[in-house]
Amino acid sequence: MALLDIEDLRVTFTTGDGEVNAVNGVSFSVEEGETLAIVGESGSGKSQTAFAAMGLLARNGRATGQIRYDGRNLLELKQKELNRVRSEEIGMIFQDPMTSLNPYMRISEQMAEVLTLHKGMTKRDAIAEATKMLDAVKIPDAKNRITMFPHEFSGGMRQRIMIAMALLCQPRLLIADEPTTALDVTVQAQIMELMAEIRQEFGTAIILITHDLGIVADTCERTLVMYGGQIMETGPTDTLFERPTHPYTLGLLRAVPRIDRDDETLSTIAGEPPDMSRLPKGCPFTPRCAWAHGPCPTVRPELLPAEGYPMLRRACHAPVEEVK
Amino acid sequence: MTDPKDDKFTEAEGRDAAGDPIPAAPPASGTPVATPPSPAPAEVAHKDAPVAERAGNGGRPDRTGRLAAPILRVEDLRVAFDIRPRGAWPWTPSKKLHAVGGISFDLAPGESLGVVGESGSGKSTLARAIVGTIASTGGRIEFEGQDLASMTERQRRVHRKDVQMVFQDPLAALNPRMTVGDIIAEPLVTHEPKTPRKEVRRRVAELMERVGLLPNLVNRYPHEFSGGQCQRIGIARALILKPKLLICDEPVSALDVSVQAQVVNLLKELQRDMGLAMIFIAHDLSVVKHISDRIVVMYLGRVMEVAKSKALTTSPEHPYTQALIASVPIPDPVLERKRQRPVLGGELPSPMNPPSGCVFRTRCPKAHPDCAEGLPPMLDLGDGHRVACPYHEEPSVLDSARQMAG
Repeated sequence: MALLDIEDLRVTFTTGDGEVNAVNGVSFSVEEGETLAIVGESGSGKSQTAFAAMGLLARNGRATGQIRYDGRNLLELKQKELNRVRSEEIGMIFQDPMTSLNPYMRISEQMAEVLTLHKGMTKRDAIAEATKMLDAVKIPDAKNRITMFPHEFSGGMRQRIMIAMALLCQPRLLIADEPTTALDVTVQAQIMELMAEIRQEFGTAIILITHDLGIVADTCERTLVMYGGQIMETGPTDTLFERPTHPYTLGLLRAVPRIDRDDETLSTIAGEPPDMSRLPKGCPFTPRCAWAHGPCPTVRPELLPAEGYPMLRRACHAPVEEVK
Repeated sequence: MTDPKDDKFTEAEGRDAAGDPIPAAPPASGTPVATPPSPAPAEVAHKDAPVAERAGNGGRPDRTGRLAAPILRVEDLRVAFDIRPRGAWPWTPSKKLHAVGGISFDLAPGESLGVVGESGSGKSTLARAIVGTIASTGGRIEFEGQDLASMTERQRRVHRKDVQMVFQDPLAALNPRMTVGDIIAEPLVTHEPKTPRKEVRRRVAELMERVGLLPNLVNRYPHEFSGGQCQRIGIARALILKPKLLICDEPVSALDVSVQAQVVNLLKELQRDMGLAMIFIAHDLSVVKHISDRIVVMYLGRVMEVAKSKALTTSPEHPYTQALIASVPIPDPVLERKRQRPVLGGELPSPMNPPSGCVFRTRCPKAHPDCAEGLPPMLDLGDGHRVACPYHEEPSVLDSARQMAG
């Protein structure tokens, strides 16, 4: 059985401008110890999928469908039960570590709180454990620096602290929402290396949510591409990058400027990201797609195995061999 | 410290057609887009500077035999900020933060120069000093042969017209209470108040079309546009005065990949068609590489390496450049696994107490004891390639970065 199994997840926000459908029927699963990347641009619904799983939707948001973790539907759990799962089973790290750490609390207090609350440790043991974890994420001089406040650390160090904190209860699943977007490239490389080490050491399954196809290539076994709140294509990272069968994946991969190539002009995807409150009935990518034809604006394509590439699943009306 | 003259990396003569000061032909596309008249890139010999000064400007004849005097010359530029230490008494003297510590370069008309570096490397401060919104604390900035610091108020107003800027966060840079038309027209109305309204409207419409916005959106407000469109508005606003130099400070960092490529292509096209000189600042080396003729790599307020784009990315010499390139992920799983990616340890030191000698030595895998003493000399490797590392030829773990590109 999969560790996390999401089925037909829909997330809707009620706003002053009407209903906004952020996630529209998304299904996927994550196995124990696996790394899955969810890739998409802003507004693709990638973060809201994770927020729904963690019960962190904004107050005007509503999630329907099934999010089964270890057999239980997280959407139906009582607050108290959900808190236990969130603390001990699933860890989450966010894009901006400064806004997710409490600026008024010393690192030692924030980290110890997790352990005293959930594991019933004494404060002294908890701080000792927290120090060990900071060592594990390679914070130099952890023993002394643990008493400092978040603002006394650099961005990269704060993200390490967030990772350490998420790992304190040794979760089986770690959800990382754009963990390196706010960091410099050299620090990003350090953090990604750290995440790979953690996975080896603790056997944690990781869901990496990102817009950066570059870091996905290096770290994740499986990739899921989202657009307009739907899954466009999913499969093993190697196959997906080598032979993208969906027009959106193809366009996205071509639009990334690459340091190892000399293209005179970058290829682009025409148009703008979709307005989530006015999505077309069919495929959300239709207005920007070069392969759009008859059924595209009205009939939503199903996520089916790609012809000739059984490892890949794609939601597209255009024949596989034409998309290249 | 070497003679600042040695530090310079002008190479006006080496440039190819892309940087040729002759305005490129109008876009070949069949669209009926009225290209705004080129902002006189051919007038390299501008009216304000006396001829004698131009000649003495190190200007060398280019292929067409004309003098390609640099449009911008930065010499040993320093910018320092006064920082009050935390918890200091009102009478304790403030400390100096050297954001830019001695930078020199020349920019030829029509050339595009990329500036890369991590946050805190001083690249944005450099941009602001050139625009004139931050006063320099040392060195010289010459725009078309005129020293920025000694300009009169009137000259400064002209300078502001000639140098325009595009900012990182497009929505934050636009006044939410003004219509798009007013936003784009504002610089024109401010600097040339006598322009007839009809003419203003015509130029706004023309420019909107040029940057890929529908002219009938002229009465909309910024919040009605997406990030990419807002950046197009910002670009149109920067171009309406027909500047000679466009400074782009992280113009695509806030945009999605698919939109980022559109804006990069647009900037490249505009730069070529209008013969603009451009300084393109970004932390993303792969974007900078696509748009620049030459790239300057900065670290903690100093220049580490300068070279033509291709040379810099295929054969980086400075250990920092090598590390930077090694850190840039490539969206290709097979290639990525083959690539050795030595990860650079540590983080940028505090600019309040930069390391002595070479500022990069604390993270440098090649650091020698004498790196702590004295600034490294800027070595000339030919073809405009300059590197501030005396040990650049020594082998190191970072060498794989050299073989990477291809």
